[in-house]
Amino acid sequence: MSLRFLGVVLVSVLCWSVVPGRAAAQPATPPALPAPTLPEEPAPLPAAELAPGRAHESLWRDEWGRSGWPNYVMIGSSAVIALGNIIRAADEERPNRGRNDFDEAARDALRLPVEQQRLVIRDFSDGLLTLMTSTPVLFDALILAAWAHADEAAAIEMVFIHAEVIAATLALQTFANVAVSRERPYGRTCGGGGPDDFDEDIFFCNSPDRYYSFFSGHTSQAFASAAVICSFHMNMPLLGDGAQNTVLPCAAGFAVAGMTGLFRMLGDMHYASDVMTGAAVGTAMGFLIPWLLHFNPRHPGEVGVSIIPGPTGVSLTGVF
Amino acid sequence: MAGRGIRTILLVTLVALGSAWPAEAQEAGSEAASESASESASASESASEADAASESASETEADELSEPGPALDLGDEPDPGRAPDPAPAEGLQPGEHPPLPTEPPPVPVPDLDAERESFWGLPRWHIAGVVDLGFLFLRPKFYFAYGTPHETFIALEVDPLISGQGVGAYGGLRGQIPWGSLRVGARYFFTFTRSFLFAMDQFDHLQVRDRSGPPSRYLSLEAQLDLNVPIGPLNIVSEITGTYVTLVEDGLFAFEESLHVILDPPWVWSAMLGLRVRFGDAEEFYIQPSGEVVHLVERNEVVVRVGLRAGVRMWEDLEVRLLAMPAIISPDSLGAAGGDTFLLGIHWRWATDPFDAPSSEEPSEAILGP
Repeated sequence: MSLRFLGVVLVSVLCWSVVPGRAAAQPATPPALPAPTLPEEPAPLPAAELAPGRAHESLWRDEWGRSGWPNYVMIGSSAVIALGNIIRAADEERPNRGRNDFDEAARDALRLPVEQQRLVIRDFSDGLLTLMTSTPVLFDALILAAWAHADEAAAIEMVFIHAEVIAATLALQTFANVAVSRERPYGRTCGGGGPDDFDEDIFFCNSPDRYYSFFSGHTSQAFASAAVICSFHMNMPLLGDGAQNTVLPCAAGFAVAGMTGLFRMLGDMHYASDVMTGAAVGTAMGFLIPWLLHFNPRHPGEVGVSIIPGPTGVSLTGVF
Repeated sequence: MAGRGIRTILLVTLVALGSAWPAEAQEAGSEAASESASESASASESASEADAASESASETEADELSEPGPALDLGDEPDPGRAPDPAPAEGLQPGEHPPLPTEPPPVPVPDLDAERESFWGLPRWHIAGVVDLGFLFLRPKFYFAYGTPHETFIALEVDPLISGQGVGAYGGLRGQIPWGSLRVGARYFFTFTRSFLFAMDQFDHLQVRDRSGPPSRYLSLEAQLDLNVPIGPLNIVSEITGTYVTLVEDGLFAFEESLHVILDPPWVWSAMLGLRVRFGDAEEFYIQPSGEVVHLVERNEVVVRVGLRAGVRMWEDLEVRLLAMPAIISPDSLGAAGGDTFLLGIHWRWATDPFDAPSSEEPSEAILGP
């Protein structure tokens, strides 16, 4: 979990440091060259310098809210809260081993029978998480917005939006992990003595991570990223105009996020209720934060709204 | 980092302008030259006509003035200390001057294409680097080098190694040409989460994280030869690496972090072969199916990885890369720890002292002449 937090911060910071370099340096149009022998109209860049379909059109509308110091504070405070929760760690002395019929039935139906299979499916879920958390930054912001549309300003905003969502979701998820301290499904196999059971002494059974079942971090981050992808494509013609260019990315994103949650249950890392809660929280954060803080059209003097996670929950602040 | 990125992006911008400006100016210059040539030709024709008219008028005047008047001091008296004036141009009378051009002469444009061989500028002493960053990895490299950055150079390479498993560093020499590179060096790694492993025939993902043994700290001596040979739209890509692992206690195995294998020290070698297919208007996209073999010499085992590398080269210094090379044959069941199973991130290159294009306020020697 701590590595995930570090990765979020590093990706956001580095993309924030790389993309503004391009926004600061690349002019939107080539500067005019003085010489009476030059043609009156500035010549376009050679085709080799342009990406396919590249056009100098602005994706970001003026009425949308741009990132500023309140957003940076939000990202930073969310990261600090997540770090604090990680340091505090789960209550290993009094874990939550509560079970219910729904979760037990789902586990019996989905859990893969062999540990090697569960290992492979857990690795696949890690890969899908990598794909989902990277897509809004690498594909939507960097490739589509900054490169294909030559709109570095919009790309920067998209990176910050994604960082806000990931950081806020991580803060909530780590808080829930520690507050609930629910044992993962495989925990009941620690020290079981069976051929597929784990030794009590191995790291799998002997770390706070054993009690971070509620709610699923992989699922919440994947669904949050899917919702961010959907928000981007709903509000900006990244793939061009047309309903299919909005529906397909949304559908694909949520399909991959759903697979991530399913793989977590197949790998015996989470119960069904953990995954469903993670999906709901991630989806809500992924849609609400971009809309409230950015895509909600505003006029001068209109109210501004901020969502700031706190130690005991989330605060909603409005400025009038 | 952002400052260097801005300089790099300025280089891109200057190069883009430079690629457009000479072409425009050359076209315009050639057009202007042709225009001025035609204009000067027509001007000389009209001048010769005027000369003929004035000549006839002067002959008429000469006939009327029988006595020559006093010579006008026009400064035409030869200065004994001065070199004799050159002979008048063909078709002109002594004392006559060629007609002034009606248009200014075309400004010679420096051939920037000849000077701008590379996006990265001219060969020079420099510091360069590469950053591979993604979820969750950060792999920076630093080159203290002479040559053309990232193309043809010889360098002292230093790579800090920071991961969730431990910290370390690599240092060595690297020589690179456009078709390949050779590096030799040493890598030291200190592991937080692993220990040396007691000898077994097979390991799984839980045993590889066993910490009951001595803490894992080892030194690898490495040599690697890379080749990247273009054949039309394809590239044959290969990589051969030899590694000697030391500082491991006798009888113990070690998990080698860069190769992602459990080996019985000291020797291990690997070979990778791939076929890169480039496509796109500027060949900015590529897909590279690849295969890799790692021979664990002392264990007498091999690890085979097969997968895909792909990327988008958006700018000369920035790519988005994908690497998926899982192990399909291995004596161990390490899962994702047994290779670079799925990596997705950016590949950013930078270098100090970007190319300095001639300033518009300071005409270059090509314009002013020697």
